[in-house]
Amino acid sequence: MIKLVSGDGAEFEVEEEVAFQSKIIKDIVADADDVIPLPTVSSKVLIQVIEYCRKHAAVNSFPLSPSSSAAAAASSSSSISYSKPVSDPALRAWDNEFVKLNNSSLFDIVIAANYLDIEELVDLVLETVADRIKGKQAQEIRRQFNIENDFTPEEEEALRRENSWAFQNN
Amino acid sequence: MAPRNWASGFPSELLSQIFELCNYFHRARFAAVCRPWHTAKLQTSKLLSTPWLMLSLPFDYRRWLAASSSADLDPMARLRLPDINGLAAIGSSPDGWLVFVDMENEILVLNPLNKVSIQFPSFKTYPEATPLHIILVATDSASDVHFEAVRLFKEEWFVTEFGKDDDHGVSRMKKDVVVGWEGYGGGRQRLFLDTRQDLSSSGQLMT
Repeated sequence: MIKLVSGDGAEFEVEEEVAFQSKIIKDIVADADDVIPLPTVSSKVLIQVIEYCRKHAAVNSFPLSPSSSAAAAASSSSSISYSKPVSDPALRAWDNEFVKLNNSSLFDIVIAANYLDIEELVDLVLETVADRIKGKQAQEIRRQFNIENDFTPEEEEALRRENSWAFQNN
Repeated sequence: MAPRNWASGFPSELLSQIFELCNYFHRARFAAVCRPWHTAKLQTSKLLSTPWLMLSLPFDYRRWLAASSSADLDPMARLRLPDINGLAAIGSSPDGWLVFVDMENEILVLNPLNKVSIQFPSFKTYPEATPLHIILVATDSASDVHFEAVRLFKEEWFVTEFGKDDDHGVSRMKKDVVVGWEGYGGGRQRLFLDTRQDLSSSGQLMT
């Protein structure tokens, strides 16, 4: 077991295969001890990250659920690789539920996942953010993500002229 | 909960990753959000992985384009093409060039965003041309494109005999072709058409 300590001092004992979803933790454990302080990660966020890692560790050790395995065997001709767990539809569905969070929570999770080097979780959150941007005008994106418009009016006008095709409402 | 700072408080490499997940239309809007997001656009080196799709809309003779993956057709992403009468589209590259062929089988590439179009040197000037490749070596800047090597085909790849019900603006090829675009060093890129590629791995064939 590995003990993770959040920034607010909460301790979480997790199995190695769960913790090792984070490449950073894997590296730390390889040459240090089993208590890992994560001062920049709050317990609230760490709980969510551990939940994700638990799910993915379980699926990674049994890469295919029986149903999808049978489906894969039936449909695949040969060399298609199923090593990436996101190709498991059940896990993909779980991931989609996992990211049904507000933007602030996603922000905290992706910062933590980036820090812990959990690549799949980083990708998952960034894809979710990209989906929330799609189809929106710059002003709507700013409102949704609480971003201040720091362009001068001249710069904004220049951007608009340069890309007029993208700013039409169509 | 305090608002999170998605602008200067967000790692720029992650912003670039989000940017790379967007298509042309979303990229332009993304870059107009704020300075840090605009910088993410400048830092990205990754070309779009989703080529243009050509759509033929029944209510308008002229063509529209969508920047989209075929799996996720986004109706927001539409663009009117300049006049392309008499040209047949045969493919598109992931960074936004469309490839057309005219009735003489001469090749023309067109960037639908800035309307830059480039006529390939005639394939008739390349007696050693083989049917397998069209290679365009170009600088990254659309206004400063030059050709270094063009190997064009002598065989007629394209269906040029149109029936009265056929759509002249949409590709008709005798063979499956992949149009791809790859980095070539020194900021150069090359465009290629290839029949030998795995069709699922790069540029999508348009039908």
